Amino acid sequence: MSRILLLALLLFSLLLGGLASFNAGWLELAIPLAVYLLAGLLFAPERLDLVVERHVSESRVAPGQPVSVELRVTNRGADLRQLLLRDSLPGFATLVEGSAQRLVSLKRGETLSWKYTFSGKRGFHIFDSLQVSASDPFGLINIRQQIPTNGQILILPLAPRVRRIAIRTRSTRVYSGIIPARQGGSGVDFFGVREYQQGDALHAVNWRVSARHAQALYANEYEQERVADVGIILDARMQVNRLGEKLSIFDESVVAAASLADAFLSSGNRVGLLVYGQFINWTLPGYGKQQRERVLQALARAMPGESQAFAGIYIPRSLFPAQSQLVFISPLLAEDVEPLVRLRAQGYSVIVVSPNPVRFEAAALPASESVQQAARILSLRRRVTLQRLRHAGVQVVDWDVTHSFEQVVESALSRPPAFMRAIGAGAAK
Amino acid sequence: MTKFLLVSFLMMGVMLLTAGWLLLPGIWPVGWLLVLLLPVGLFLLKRKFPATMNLALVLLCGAAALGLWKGMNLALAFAGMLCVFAAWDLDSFSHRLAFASVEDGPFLIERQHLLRLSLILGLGVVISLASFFIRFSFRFEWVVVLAVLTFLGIGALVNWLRTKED
Repeated sequence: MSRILLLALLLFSLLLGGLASFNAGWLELAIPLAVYLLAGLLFAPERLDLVVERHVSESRVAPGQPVSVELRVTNRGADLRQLLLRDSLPGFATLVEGSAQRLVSLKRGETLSWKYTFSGKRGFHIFDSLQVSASDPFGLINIRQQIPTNGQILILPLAPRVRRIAIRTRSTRVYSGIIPARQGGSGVDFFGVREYQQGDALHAVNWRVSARHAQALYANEYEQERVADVGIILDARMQVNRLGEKLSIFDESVVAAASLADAFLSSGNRVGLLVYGQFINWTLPGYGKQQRERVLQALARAMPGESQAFAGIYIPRSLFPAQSQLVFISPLLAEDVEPLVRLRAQGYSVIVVSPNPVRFEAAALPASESVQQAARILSLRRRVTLQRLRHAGVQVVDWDVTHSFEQVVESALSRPPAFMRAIGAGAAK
Repeated sequence: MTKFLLVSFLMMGVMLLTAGWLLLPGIWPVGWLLVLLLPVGLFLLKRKFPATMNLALVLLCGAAALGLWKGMNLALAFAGMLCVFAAWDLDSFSHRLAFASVEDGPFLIERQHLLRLSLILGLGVVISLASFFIRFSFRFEWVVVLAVLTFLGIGALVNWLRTKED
């Protein structure tokens, strides 16, 4: 119930009761209420006529970089005694300097300018309006308005630099890169021997083989290195990322996705991003710096969400070219093993980068015997899940988020796993 | 300062009304009931239960009015209700003041509001005292007319306020 309504009803009750019961005391009680109410009505604002201008210092920043928002509010209407101005601060932002809300009085024609500064880790926000509320000095009558403004801010996620990620896909693209293509041509690694053709360099001649064949010369052939298609799938399902009421491991997954996308794009690969959570957010595959920007912007906007339709993993095959590389970034549930193994069976090369939720949650909880016991049990269950994936030929990186991502990935992914190297060696023979 | 005055006024109001009730012969338990409800009210205020002061105002105004009907001392009832009313206003003001930043000078805003409140309530007290001494006598018919006009006026005011809020 609003204050003024309550006051009016109270006043009405006292007056009516006093008149009905001929009790002067009740009427005496009503007098201060009546004076208060009349004062509120007398000084109540009539209507709001404000002009708001907003200026945001940057529209796109790195994480932690301060962003300044400057607002200018001009009152073109009548004097406003109590004007409350509230700007919506993004949820991911932390106020560094100043205040996003003001309580001022503004005379007709007067302009108020103020500035505040915030910073954040990652996110996207549109400053679409300023909430304004004017009232009489006693707060009885409030006039509220949302005045539209413009401005937006994009805080890109951190993308730690990873030097090299060794992948080996069954098929590659036409352009040269660093991924062995299982085809002979110009390259670095020995691939095979063929008959010498005019134009071949003299140092390429394999004299040992040529010595065994009197009629012809033979030259070495090297494995071509090309670029590949890489699909990064970021698991944004709420049930996987949320650990307890306020704890979420999603930001770590985003950092991993940003870092891997940057590494793959720097090597010239074609990279696409799929954020799988409340809905499917698909960034079409592309090359180079523009694609990097698109991917980082998509990651800045990514939020964990819940959906019945996307509770389990289902990746449409039409999104990723056959036999390409998929990198799945997720804390993982036991039920996720089957769909990932199915992807492997469909011919994709699959890498799973899994931020360890057990260690993450255990680090946030107080160290006690029961927490340690629970962490041990959950770690064992997780180990079984990861082993099942490894046995199916999926490369798994179990990332303890207390260690830096670059270190973990460089030690785990700088060389293809032994079985992949063996397959590669067999193909070369 | 505002919160301190809010709690002080609330406690003073309850004490004054309790004293008024305790002085009435035969119905003293009502006074002790008010005293028992005071810590509940303070607890709800501390927990920031939104409707605490609205409930307190209605309850304590009701207690004052009922007390007057039973023959309570007018000065105690009036002073008690005034203190509770001031606490009700300060509760709302403290919520608005929370939005003020350092640049707005919250101390100055607080002082201005306290001055305004004192003036308005003081004016109310003066008019009440004047009405106490200045007496009019009406015939019964005029009293009925006044009652109907009051009824219609307040009803119209409430309607107007509701449409304005919408």
